[in-house]
Amino acid sequence: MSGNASSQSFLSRYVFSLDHRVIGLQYLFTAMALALVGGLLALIVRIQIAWPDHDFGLISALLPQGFDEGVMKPEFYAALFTMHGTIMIFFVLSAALIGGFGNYLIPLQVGAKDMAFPRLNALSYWIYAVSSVIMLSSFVVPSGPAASGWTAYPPLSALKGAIPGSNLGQDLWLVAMALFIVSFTLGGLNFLATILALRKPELSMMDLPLFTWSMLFVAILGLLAFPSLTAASVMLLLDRHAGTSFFIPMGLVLSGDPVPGGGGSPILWQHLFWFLGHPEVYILMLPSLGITSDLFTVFTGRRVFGYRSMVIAMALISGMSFLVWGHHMFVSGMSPFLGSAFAVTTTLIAVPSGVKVFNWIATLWNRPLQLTTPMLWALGIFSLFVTGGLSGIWLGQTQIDIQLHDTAFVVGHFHIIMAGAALFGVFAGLHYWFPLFFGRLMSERLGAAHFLLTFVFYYATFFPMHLAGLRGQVRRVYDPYQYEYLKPLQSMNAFITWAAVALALAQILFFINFFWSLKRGAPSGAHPWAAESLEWTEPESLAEGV
Amino acid sequence: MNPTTLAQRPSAIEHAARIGVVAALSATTMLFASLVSAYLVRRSFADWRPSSALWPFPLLALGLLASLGIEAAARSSGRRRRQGFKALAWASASYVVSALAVIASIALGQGGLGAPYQAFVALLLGVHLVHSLGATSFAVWMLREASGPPSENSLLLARLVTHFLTALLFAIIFLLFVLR
Repeated sequence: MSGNASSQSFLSRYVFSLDHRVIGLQYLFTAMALALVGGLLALIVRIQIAWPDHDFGLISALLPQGFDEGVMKPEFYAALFTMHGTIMIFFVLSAALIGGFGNYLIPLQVGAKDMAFPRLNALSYWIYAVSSVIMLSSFVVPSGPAASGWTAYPPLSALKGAIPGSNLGQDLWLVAMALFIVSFTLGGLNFLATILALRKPELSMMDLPLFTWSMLFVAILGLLAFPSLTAASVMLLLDRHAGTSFFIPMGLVLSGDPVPGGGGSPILWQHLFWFLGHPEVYILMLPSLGITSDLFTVFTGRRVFGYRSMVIAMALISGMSFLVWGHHMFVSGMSPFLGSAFAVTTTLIAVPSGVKVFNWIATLWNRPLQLTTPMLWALGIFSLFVTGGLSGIWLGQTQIDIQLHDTAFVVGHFHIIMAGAALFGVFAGLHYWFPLFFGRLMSERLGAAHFLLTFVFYYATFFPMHLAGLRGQVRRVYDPYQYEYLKPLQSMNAFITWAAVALALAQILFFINFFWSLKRGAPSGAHPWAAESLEWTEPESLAEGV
Repeated sequence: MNPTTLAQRPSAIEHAARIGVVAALSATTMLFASLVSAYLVRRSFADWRPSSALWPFPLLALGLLASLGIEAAARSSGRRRRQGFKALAWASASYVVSALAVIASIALGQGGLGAPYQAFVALLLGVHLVHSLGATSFAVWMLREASGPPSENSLLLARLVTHFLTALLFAIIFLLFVLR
């Protein structure tokens, strides 16, 4: 923070600040608050899957439009998983990893005093904050939040009267997403400009931490992938309000009345959505992979094996992520030849991913590991990346995906590879850079306990989903046991839900550790981890009581 | 961090501004690539009925005028350069108003936006005019911020953005009238 910080008012110092470090922390704290909402929604969804007739008591009193005498309405269940996915993917994980760590660390790691465009940076945060409020506000509109899934597939999302969530809630979803994309785009061009133009002259690109490299690729991915969702969102809004029919097919009947117009293609939305959707997976994962590589360097005392190949692997993963979107659409009636092409490109991504995995093994090989809390989280990411990557190879094959599409197997897979790796990246980064942010250390004992419980219950929650999926458990179904063949899976679903509850409870340890350490943590000193990257070695980068 | 600190490194900041503008134009290119992909898919459907009109020619003329204005500004200096910027801003503003008029006439005309071809005309022009509006606002902001005539870097960026938008307009009109 600038030297004259003490003379600034609270508002200009902490709220409307142009300082990249304050903006980074604003992103982190906002994402943390939203994670509580997204996590709570996940728990409610899990309880509903395990015990569909459960009386939700207090929650039903808070959100009466979603319940009928304490029992959840099917359309509200759809709204819950829609909002859970949207909030966690975009507003929590993307915001924390990229907005939070990216803003705080990029200038420090490249030796710049701030981002290239500080005003744009502040604007980016505030647009994100407004979009978050708009997204959450849909919970209080009479028709409730959007309910067409985080993928917002038409015609459910295009026809206002389809279900309650297709009304105002869907509009709010689209507006919030459009604003989020604007925020992300502004942030992305700021990241690019800062890394490429404001880097210290004596610092070559090949000297940068892999986290900064990951931010560079994430910025490029965001700038090139998000516009397709912008285009699709504009078209969907026009379908909803201007009488166009980009995505509304011919011959639809709604509540007994034929839908006027039509002739459009819902599949077109899927193409546009997934052209963003798959790169978004890497937008979430690359920062975690960068953090993992950097932490392995610090806590093994050896520069990550094959640094240059790690950079090339990230570049290849980023580039190839634009060529695989069709694997989300194998069951959409796609030509088998096209399906095969997407299966091949999807499988090929395993090559640069494998490079990363083997380089990590070589880095860890035969070295005394310092099992600090950040290192534990990094090892956790390693584990999740391999586990989720292996099930990804299954799902990348048309023959298998057609069987497993829209089952719990897919839910388990992406929670391990995308959500898990990203979430563990957030924890790894928070524990590692906490001393930089606040000048104090987090408790190692509490941190290790939090990691162990989270690691165990994360697998306990999401691994059995693969088994449930293989046995035919479909996703996004309000009451699975209305189908005879799914009744035997109730006990497995109950187990998953209990594991999810335990996973949620384990997070209490994190919040205790975080807030206790903010006030009472041991002073960290300048080099708590003996790391050599610029954010630790440049004296002006030390926290000044942020 | 005060932005004036960065002003101590003008070359780095100018470099950063160029990267920022190129990045923004890349995102815009991808946005239009997505819209064009959707157009190319939709035009193969049975209900596609393209229509013809004369409106593209005035719009193209205004786009060309904006590009010529910025080139004239680039080839002059001092007060004339500033006047060139003003001409650009006026041409762009006229374009925005004209494009709005075209979209309104399509929306209110026969078939309205329910006809897919007309919907795409309105969509592509509308998104283009939003970007032109942004570029115009940026040009006006630069004029207000700069105490003197615009710098070489501002000029370079303004030329890049203006020519990009004109080229984009040509591409859109080519698409709508040749590949219809």
